[in-house]
Amino acid sequence: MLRSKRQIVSFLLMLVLLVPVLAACGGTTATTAPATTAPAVATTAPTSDTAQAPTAVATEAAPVATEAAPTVAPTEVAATVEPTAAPGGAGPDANKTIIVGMTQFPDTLFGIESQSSATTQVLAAIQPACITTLSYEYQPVCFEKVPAFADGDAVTETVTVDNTYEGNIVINDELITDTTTLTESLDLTQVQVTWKLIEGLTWEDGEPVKASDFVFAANLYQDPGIQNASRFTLDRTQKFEAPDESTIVWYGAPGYSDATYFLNVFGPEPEHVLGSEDPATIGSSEYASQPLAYGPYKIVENVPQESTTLVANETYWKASEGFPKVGNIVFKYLTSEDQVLQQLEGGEIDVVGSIGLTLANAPALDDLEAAGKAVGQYVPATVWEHMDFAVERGDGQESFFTDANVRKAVAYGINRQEIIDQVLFGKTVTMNSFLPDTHWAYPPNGEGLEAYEYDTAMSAELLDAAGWTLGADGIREKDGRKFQVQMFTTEGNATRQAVVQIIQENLKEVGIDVVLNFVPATAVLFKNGADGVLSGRTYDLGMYAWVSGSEPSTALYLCDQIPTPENSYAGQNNTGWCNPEYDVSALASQSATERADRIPLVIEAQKVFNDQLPTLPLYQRVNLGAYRPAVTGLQLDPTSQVDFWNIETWDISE
Amino acid sequence: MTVYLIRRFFQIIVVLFLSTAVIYTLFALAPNPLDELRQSTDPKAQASNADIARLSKQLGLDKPWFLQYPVWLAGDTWLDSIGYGQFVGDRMGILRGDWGTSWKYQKNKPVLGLIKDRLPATLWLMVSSTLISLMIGIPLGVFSAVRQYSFFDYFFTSFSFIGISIPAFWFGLLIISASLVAKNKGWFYFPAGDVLAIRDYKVPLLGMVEAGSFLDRVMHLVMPVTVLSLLNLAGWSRFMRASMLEVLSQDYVRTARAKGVRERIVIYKHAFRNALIPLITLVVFAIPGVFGGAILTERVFNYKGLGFLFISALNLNDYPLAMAFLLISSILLVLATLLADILYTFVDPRIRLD
Amino acid sequence: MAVTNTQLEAREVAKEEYQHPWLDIAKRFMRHRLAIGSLIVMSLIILSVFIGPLFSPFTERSQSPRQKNLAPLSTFQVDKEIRNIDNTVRTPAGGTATAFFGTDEIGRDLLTRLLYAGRVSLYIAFAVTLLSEIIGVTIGVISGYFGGFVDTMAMRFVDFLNTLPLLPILLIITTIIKPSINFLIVILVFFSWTGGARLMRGQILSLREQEYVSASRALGASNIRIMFRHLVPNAIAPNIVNASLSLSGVMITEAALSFLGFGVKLPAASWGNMLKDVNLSILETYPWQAFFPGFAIFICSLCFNFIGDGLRDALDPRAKR
Repeated sequence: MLRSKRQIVSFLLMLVLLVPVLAACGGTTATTAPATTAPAVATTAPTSDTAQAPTAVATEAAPVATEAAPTVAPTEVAATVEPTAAPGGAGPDANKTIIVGMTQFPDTLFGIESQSSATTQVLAAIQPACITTLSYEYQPVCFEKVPAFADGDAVTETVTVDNTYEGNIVINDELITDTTTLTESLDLTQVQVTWKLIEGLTWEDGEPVKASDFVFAANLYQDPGIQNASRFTLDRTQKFEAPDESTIVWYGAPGYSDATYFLNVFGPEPEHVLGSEDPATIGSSEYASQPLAYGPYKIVENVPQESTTLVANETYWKASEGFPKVGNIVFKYLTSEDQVLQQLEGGEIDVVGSIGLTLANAPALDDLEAAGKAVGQYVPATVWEHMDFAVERGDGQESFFTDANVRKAVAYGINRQEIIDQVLFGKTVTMNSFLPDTHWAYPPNGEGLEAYEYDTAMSAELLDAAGWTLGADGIREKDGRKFQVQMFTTEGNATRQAVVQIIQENLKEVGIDVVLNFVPATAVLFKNGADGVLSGRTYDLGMYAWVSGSEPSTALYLCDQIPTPENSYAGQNNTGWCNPEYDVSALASQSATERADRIPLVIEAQKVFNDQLPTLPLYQRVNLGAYRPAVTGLQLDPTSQVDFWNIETWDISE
Repeated sequence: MTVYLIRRFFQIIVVLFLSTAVIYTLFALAPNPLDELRQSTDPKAQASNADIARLSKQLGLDKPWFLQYPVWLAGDTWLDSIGYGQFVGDRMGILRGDWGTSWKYQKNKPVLGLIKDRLPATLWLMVSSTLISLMIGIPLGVFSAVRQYSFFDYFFTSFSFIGISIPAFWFGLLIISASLVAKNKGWFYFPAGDVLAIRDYKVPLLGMVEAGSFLDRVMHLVMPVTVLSLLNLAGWSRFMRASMLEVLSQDYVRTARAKGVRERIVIYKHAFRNALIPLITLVVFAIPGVFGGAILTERVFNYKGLGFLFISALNLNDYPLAMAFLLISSILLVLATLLADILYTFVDPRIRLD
Repeated sequence: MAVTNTQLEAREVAKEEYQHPWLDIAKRFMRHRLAIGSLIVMSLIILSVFIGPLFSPFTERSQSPRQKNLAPLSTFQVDKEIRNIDNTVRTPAGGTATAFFGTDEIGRDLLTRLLYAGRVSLYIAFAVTLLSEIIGVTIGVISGYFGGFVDTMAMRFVDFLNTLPLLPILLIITTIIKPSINFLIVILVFFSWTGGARLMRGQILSLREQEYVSASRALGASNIRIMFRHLVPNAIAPNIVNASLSLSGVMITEAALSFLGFGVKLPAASWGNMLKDVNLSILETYPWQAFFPGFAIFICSLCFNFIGDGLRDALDPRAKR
């Protein structure tokens, strides 16, 4: 077919046409970004970066968040808002719209059944959480105050339980569901907590939010047809009561006490709407796409995976103060971080929270900031990266890290600051405890904690002292065994890849050979059971993330939390480290109820932890958000589940 | 003919059963997607073994692997009759019209509804690109065949070679890149990503584009349609050319020319019509293509259509959604095959179906 | 009587004009300059992909986070020494190195990565094509030769495989199984052998009635001998063409799977997954990161298509001049 000169000429002509097109793409540098010597630009640590971490309360089960949206009808941005006849305060400006971008989408708006953190974010605008956790503290939103034993709205009663008792009880931290097995009657302490609702809470259809709505919610969530992930607290509840319209009382299961008793309230859910429905059908009904609001906004339209449009709710209890300020909010669900950046730059979205940008986008965000198109906000998050030592392996092989001094040697041998500067753009800090330094239980100024500054000489000294001598090939050996360790982390995560390679280089210099293994997160690394890498302790070094919170995660390193065949691998102490001294302080801190008593105990536990180093904390992750300069009000918070907790105060100036 | 149809129908059923059985069993053997719920430092939010068991039962994951496929097919209301009473539920199964509900993507929402919601976006994309490919491809192929060995022919052949060799997703990336460059330079550009905008935006030369309008939709469609149609075009026009060449060398064409019939009539009345026949195959197979043929393009352009839905379902391990998609694709494919065979008998009386 | 002059002459002429049939084919192939050009280009690519990395100052995974996203032809000082897998020093610290195609977002040299990725992509393409042709030919010849039940069953199975939508099925399988490279090859082969089988079977059906077949049978040749010694070499031509063309298809399929994240997984590079994390920001400011891997796929695919086209014309006895 193609043989003669004509063909060659025409083919070349075709190429000639293509090449300039390709060259135009290949050769140009964008006019917005500054010179090519600037390091940076984003990405790829796609959302799987955040999702590898075991998550806290709002369980984020999706390993990847790709967005999507059906386009049945074009979404309308401007929705009509009835003018608020509100005294004082200007009221919501119906002409203003703020568009919030997110890279995950809600899997349902029926909050209890959701496993997507995007749902929590969206619901914050319509059904604000009744108690918020800002800055490692707790604030009441729907209630007049946070109940406390000291104030008398949390009390304990003694309850006698025998084998005729109906309900669950807790003995020695173990849940007993079948009381008929009791051979004698016991006296157990029962915690009772009382909350008082504030005035003015009203559903968007005008019905008041009553205490009975909270009781209804709690009962609803126990129905077998509801697909909530965890019924931990519900299982440890005797009952909820609403003695009057604005008082809720929780009666815990006898024998159960926990430090966050004041959070043990559920709901509210509108009894007048859902009371007659079959609970199993709620999740698939219209209600799950458009739940009733009592907060600053209510849903006008929900196009799943595309956008959710909200309009100011005139029944909001702060409406008389002129909140919310902006009349319309649209949550727009995007598919990737770079789309977020593109749309922020182009003005197609106004705000993006922590479910939208990751630290890898920091340089691009800096560029946008320099160009005056966006403002970035960096807040240290509660997710912290760490490297577990397998202090005791689960497969019978001899562990390298039984000796604490060897662990310390590794800590001295890793240049954590360099990791932060190189991979994380210098925007975070190292950690030396399982708590961040802004936590209420962190020893003031970090006193008593060793900082493990990078010191290869110290590292070499410790290793020599432990019997590991440098071999001819630069790798240490002891008793004929080479110091070669297997390090595991999740695959497909560019940040972790970069971090472990720096760790590998650093350790090579002190004579430890690190073999890197990148494995699938859920199926291999975090898999439960003997064949899971962490839970079965078949690793030497494992790098992943934990999420801390207001509550100190002392439980992570308890002796009985080591996953073993006996407890069906139910624990989370993947290091296999067991230290009775630590356990004493940690357990005491967990059962004490007053914060003043808990702080010294947690500090003790941290000191042991820091000295024995079963885990080397690496760094705190950073949450970042961004907004266009015209927007005010975004305030990310390290411990808050939601970025938009103050959405009613936001304003946009154009 | 009827006998043939009935036989083919049974074959189709067997094929669908087999392929879905194999795939669903593979799903059943994969690790339980609920295990990741165990990961949580807050013990209050950690799913205990009892919680996982409860959720498994609610989602239907508690059954042993060999029961999963039959349940998907026929529901689980009848399981007590074969001794697996503990797995009885209220699913009806595909055979009774229950396509299941999504597990993760949009919890508890019926799968068919989700697919239906996404269908229009993909239809817009695929139908426009198929039409454009046909409308440009057929004349190109014919013209090229008629003017064989001319400059145009060689040019076109080179173009079609390039078209069939170029990876679609790379081509898409290049086009996006070009568009971004144009946007930065302040020239006319097309928005990359999404199906529709939410906020009105400004485009040089066109002014304000209203979000959600037809113009907005067209603006978002231009680049993906260009990529899809160019690549299809290359293949189809080549096919048309080959078919046309084959026909033009036939004896009856030579006879017609010898009889003095005008060249134009020879080409369009005699050759062209016969050359179109093999094209039926192509066009008929564009039908299943409409459903799932744009997976790559949708991913590159972040165009939220069916292909995107499928990829999302796979990434989220949302089996009911993925299976529904697969089943519909398979059904369309086998129906297209059958349709092509039947159409052939109509257009070419020499072909007999046996 | 002795051989006459004319007879001698005739023999000479006959000798002269006798050419091995493959030589004839080769000559016809040479006529297609684009095909020859493609063959040369392909050989160069294969050569550079296997030999090239030996000359590079970088390894496949060596990254210097400080040298992120450099433009093509940037020269810089290597700050940390780069070591090979066996721990020998490849590039000492302080030496200068040039990233001819630039670097990616974690500082890996793109040219080196491209070459290593080429090994993977080409290996997969060739392995899949070779194996699927072998399997396809075998099944095709058995099916065509024996006919009857075997044939019907085989063709039913082929029809069955053809009714499966390829990309969705591949995506589903690779989601569930998450294969290694070799296992990925097995999966791709499983779905690719049908084309070759059909072709071979078609050829065999017409060839098995030929006289040399019955002659061989009469001489006592076993079926296997007849099939593989006589029939296959005569019928192989369309399969060779098909192989070359399907090389292009397999390469693009693997690239598509890796691009979507389902095929070759990072950090192992293949041309497809080098494009996987390209996004709008990269396209805007560092477009060359997106350009080169795709361009490599494009060129290889184009060459395979040209070669296939040239082969088709060379092998087809009815080729039009």
